Amino acid sequence: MKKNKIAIAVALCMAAVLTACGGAPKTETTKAAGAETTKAGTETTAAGAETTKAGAESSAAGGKLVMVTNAEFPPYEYHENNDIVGIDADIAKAIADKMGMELEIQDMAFDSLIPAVQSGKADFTAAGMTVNEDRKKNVDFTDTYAQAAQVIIVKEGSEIKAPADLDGKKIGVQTGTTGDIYAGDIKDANIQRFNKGMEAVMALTQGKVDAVVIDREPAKVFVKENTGLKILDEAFTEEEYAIALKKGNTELLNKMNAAIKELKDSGELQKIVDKYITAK
Amino acid sequence: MSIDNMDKPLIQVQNLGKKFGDMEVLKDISVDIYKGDVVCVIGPSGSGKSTFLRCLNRLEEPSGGHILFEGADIVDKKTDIDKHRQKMGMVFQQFNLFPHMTILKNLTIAPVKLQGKSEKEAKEQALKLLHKVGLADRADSYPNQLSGGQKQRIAIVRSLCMNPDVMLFDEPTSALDPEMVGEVLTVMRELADEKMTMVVVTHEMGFAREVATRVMFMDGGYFLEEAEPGEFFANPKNDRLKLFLSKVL
Amino acid sequence: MWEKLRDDFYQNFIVDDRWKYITDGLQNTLKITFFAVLIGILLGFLVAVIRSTYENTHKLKVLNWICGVYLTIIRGTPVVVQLMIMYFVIFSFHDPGQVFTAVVAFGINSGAYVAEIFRSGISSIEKGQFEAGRSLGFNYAQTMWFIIMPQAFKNVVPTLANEFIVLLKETSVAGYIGLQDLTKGGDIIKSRTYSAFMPLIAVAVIYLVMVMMFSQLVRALERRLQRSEH
Repeated sequence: MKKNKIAIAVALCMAAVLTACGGAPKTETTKAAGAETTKAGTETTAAGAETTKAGAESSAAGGKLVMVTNAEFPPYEYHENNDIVGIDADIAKAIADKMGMELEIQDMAFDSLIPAVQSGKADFTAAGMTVNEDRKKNVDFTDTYAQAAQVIIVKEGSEIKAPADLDGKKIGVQTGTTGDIYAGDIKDANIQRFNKGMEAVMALTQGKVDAVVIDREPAKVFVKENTGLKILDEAFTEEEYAIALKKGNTELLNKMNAAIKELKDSGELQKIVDKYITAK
Repeated sequence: MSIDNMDKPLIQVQNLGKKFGDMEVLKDISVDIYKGDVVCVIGPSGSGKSTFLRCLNRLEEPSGGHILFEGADIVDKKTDIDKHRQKMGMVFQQFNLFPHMTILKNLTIAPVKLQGKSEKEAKEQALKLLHKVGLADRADSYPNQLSGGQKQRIAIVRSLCMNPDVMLFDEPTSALDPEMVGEVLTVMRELADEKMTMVVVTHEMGFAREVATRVMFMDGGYFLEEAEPGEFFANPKNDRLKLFLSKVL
Repeated sequence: MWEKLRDDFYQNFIVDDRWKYITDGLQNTLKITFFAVLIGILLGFLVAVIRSTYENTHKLKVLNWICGVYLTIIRGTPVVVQLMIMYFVIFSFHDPGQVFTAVVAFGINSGAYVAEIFRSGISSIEKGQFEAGRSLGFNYAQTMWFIIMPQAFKNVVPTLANEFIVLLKETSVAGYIGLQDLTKGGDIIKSRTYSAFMPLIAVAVIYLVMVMMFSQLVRALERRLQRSEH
């Protein structure tokens, strides 16, 4: 019995400590925005020495921008030759160049991206992330840099011809993506959430799910690489991608928006998109 | 070793050999054991006497020769050794009671599972035998609650519960404190009085002298001398036996 | 701060019935663990008996070899990889359901560890026990079953319990095959509310409580087993 009580006490202490940690970053959002980048580095001991260095440097010279993404989402971000490349990666690089800062990209699970930005472990996330109301409550978005859509992939010859046919079907999605969130609105749908879009597609080819709801551009890549799959003409939803920052970090937000505008005006942005989408 | 005895021997050992790797522990041993015999096997440690005993119920696999027991050659791999072991009780130096069972369960499990006796039948027999060795009050105890001497008496009873035709004793008193040796030997003596056939590997010369019908001296993997106890102790012929007796007596 | 916690709690568990992600996930976690433990015990027992039999009698050589390969592969690769192989490779053309797949994968994984636990339990029993059993006329299997196993089992209860606690926690990677277990349930909430604190702590506390309850149970069992010997 005594041991029991001790264990509960330990659990409670743990919870209390974590509460304090979890609460801190959010309450500090009201502080001067300029300090944020530095904070990101110095606060996050868990993220490792590199991030700390990034923070320390940013106060001195141009400094480093830490971007998080889920690099399993071609053509927006994926691994190639030990680098993370893709539309988002290139755009982020261009933005960092304009701001005279260095860019560091970290790869993590999609559903951890916003918490990472919120807690200051990263400066921003560019991850083919669709702007929606729920997310806006938790992060600030830059101006859109790409139009996107959630589409439906099915096997050729499937009886699913339009989004309305998804009712009561087994649907594969990537956890936390807009496809996942919107698929929840489908009537009687049995949603199977995978860590990676590719795994959802694999489940589709193996007949374990009836359809996959996923962003259009990666969908094109997946369909191209797997025979017997097709994308339905009618999109599931239309949406916009944007970069997400910690709420209240207006200084960085303004700088990034300015850079995005410059990239759009100069046609550089379109060039990056073309490079990946036409090349694929 | 009179072959022309009126009875056929209960156990006939013919040219028994046992090797552990290159080491020859038993060399060409032949011996007949008759019903009612109490054979005490003595000899220095490492002489092969325990190995000899353990070959009799094939706890050790003989390397050669034959052992005929109740008409079957138990060295033959085709013989159902488990069936014959039921008729050959064995008592170990370390008792080897089953610690996870009560005394009663230790005594009844084999008769119930192997001889198809009912629990009740087996229990009655066990209690009768327990009473005989003076341990009826310990039926519900566990082995760990008993002294060494008590454990060994229980171990003897465990074998007796199977109504064996022969009892094999492998140094049954060697692991006991001196004050407990007597109680175990008493039980063995009573068994001998009831004409139980026994093969006893022992260092208890007193027991051998008083209870044995035959005493055998073993050394270097051979039986070097065999005689009735009176003759054996009073008039040893083999030099090595003389030397051995001079040390232990 | 309390207000914020309350609000967080509301957002993470009450809105849209999000708590259901946790309870549904918990059900799957319990289901997977329970059946995987059963398979693990069965398989582990079988493998341990085969291995011990080979060690004692040099029989069952081929089976022993197969068991050796099984132990090497399972203990030499991470369970999450085994799980994905089971789902994406072995069951690639037939879908027996994700829970079933996970039960099979975790069961086979656990079996390897249980086998070694049982085997060490068996070899910890003195040789004399085995000889006493055989000398009474029990055959090999009967001696194992009536005499060796009960003692071996008693010896390995704490280690075995530990293995099952590890298994319970290891099922947290079940999300890799699109299965919604307890951990994944928390992940889904996290992906909806963008707050890591509440769902993760809730998930952690539930695992902790389950492990503590199970440990209590094992301690009670151990006490009972102990009593029978004194």
